[in-house]
Amino acid sequence: MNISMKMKRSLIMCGVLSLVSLGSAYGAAHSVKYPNKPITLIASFAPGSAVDMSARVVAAYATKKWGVTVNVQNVIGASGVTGTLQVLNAKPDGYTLLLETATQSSFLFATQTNLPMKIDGRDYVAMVTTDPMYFFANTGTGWKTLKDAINFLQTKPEQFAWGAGAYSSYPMLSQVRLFNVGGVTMETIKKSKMVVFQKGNAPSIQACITGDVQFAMGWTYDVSSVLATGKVAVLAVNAPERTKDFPNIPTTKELGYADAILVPWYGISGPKGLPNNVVKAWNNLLKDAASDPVGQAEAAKAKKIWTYLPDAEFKAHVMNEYEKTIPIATALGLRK
Amino acid sequence: MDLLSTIAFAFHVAITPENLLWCAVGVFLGSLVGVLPGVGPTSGIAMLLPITTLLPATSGIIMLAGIYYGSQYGGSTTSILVNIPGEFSSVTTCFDGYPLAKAGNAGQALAVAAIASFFAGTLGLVGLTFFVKPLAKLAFALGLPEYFLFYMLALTIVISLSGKSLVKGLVAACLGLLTTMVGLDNISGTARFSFGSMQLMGGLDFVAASIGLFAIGEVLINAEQGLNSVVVAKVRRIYPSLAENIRLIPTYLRSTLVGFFPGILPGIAPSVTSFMAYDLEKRVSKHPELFGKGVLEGVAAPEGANNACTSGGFIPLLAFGIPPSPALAVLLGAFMMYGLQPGPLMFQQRPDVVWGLIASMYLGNVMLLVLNLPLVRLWIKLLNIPYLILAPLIVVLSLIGAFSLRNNFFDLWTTLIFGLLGYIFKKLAIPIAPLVLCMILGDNLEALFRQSMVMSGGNMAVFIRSPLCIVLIVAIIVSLGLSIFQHNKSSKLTADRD
Repeated sequence: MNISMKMKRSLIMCGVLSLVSLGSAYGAAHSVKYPNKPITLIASFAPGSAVDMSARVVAAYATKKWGVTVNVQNVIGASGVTGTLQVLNAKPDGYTLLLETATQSSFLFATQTNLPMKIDGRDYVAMVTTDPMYFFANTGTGWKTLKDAINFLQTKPEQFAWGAGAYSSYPMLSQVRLFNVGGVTMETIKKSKMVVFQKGNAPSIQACITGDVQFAMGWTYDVSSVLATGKVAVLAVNAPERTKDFPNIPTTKELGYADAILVPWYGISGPKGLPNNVVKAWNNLLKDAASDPVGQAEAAKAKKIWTYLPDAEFKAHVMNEYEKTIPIATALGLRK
Repeated sequence: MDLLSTIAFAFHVAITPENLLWCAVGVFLGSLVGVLPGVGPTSGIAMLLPITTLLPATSGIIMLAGIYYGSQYGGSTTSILVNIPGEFSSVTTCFDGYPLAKAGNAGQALAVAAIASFFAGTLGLVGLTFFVKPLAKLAFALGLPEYFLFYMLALTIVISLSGKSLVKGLVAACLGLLTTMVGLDNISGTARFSFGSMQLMGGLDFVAASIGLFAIGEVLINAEQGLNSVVVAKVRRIYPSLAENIRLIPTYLRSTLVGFFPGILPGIAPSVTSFMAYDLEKRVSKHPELFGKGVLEGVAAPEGANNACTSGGFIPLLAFGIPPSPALAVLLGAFMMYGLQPGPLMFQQRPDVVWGLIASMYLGNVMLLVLNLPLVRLWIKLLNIPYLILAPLIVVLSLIGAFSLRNNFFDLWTTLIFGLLGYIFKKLAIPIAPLVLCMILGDNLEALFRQSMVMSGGNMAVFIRSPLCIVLIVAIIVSLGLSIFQHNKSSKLTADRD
């Protein structure tokens, strides 16, 4: 009696197992539509940060268009590297992706040479948004244009205090690039008061409001706040075109500093070896986001600008930015 | 619109069935977020940001704001019952809250925490309502040197937290400062104490460390002693008497002031104000030696301060769109999702959102009081669970909480190692409070000093550059002097007694 029960049970087990394996083999053999289950989009910075907000905009849009939930998960630590590594070590099936920015790719590899990963060790899927930065000056300085600020730096560097944000961040590197393009040498810059705020850019802007630093940078959503205080003037936007939110603020291009343009970008990447249909699906989705009213609505809320670059161009952009940053990082002593 | 009609308008917006419902949902979720260690209002609000796609602006903001101040009510629950600080601002509540629970007075502690939160939170809201525009200017009163001196003033609290042995307290404080040095140096970007690990380069998460120090350290000590139950004395009365409540009113008032005004300043977290309020209570008390052994003032002060701080935090947020804390930064994100920009324009264009929000916060505080007081009966039953079962539950809850902070596995190691450290400290009778205070202050303390020095070109005179600087320096000297005097007096008392 016992033996036949055992036999029965093992037969049933075999049956179940073969059904399951047939099913998954079927699923693998026939390319299943992507996406067919929830996607995790990892943002390696805190909720409310620029990366996080871009991730939420993209996730909301993709969820609406695909009908499949795209979840934003914040994996924070090691200045963004923890989240990056988590995605790069995940299965390359398109269901774990990274919403990244320069701090996790171009700037990171330009400053750190001993990382357990390489800049081309991931699949770049598409650039999704950009978020231009603006140059701020405390009103107490009386500076009306960028030229005023750069002249002051050139002639009295020891008195020029600027809020540099965190190391290897957009605020720091953008300001250095502006100064270089404006004709200021690295030696002169080193004589200036470069006040570093490692924890983020908000304290840098706060210091500009109180006048502790004279010059700083911020994003679009910072502009209204600083203007409301009445203590900060917005001298220029560091982009090729004026922004819709603040059409009265001139661009660095118009002011003659076109080479200084460095616009923070946010893009999607994934572990190496993503299937073609995954990359294609995202590219098809994002191509028309800018002209899609649904996409426009989502982005406008977080003041993000849809800026689509397909996978190959996106990777080229990252590599270009990486190569351009190496000399600045070396000169600043940031490259280790 | 004059002020009275503004207030009437505000409540008109807030007291719609829809807004009342979402306010209730928000404060309930906030309490839950506060009770759960690790998950704080920052991640709580962030997780619920998608709600902005479903709800109209006023309801959505009311709900998300409810999570913020609601979490300051719930945070004290685990601090008192099982010595797990839910977030930083609840750490101070552990000092007297947990001893009260052990003595059978958990109900009173929990009730006082709720009442203090209500009192101070509401009073803070009154300040917000009537003085938002003038007070907003305070947000820029402090420059880098002034902030540094403010943090130094907070640092002097270390002495009163040291208990009997000043030396041991200072050892703990130094260790606390050392832990903040792990990671990238604030000015030069050099990696310190990273031992080649990218995780350490990003620095330690201090909430994870506090959870380890308090909760796990306590579990280890209790396990060693073979504790059967947390409560070692019989429960006398659940709720505090009217006389006790009246006695606590000056405490509620003081904690409101200590929490509200610094709350307006960007960068001053509720946790710092809770330490300051606790310290102030101890100084003005007739029996400072009882603090740390279980006095209701020791629970009322930090709980009141952190709620007043959240009310104060809305001032720069609404007046300029400048969030003074990470949780409010996420709330700012919510405003943006609605296409709103907090600031003077929003007062003009969307007064319904601004004033509706403010009115809803009064109602939310009432709801929280009504929600939390009866729950006290339920919570204290938890303490009846045999420690054999409670202890592993505490460990699991702590670890889940630690992980939920950043979804980073490394934080679990932080919690465990600091848990071991907490156990060692208890065995050696080294006070933990100074260590935690320095962990909270250390980072900013160093950064602000060096940023001030860069700004001034290396000139130390920058620290006496303004009247406010002088005032703060005098305050530091006075605080140091008083603390040392009080410390010597109490050690003399114990020496005389022996």
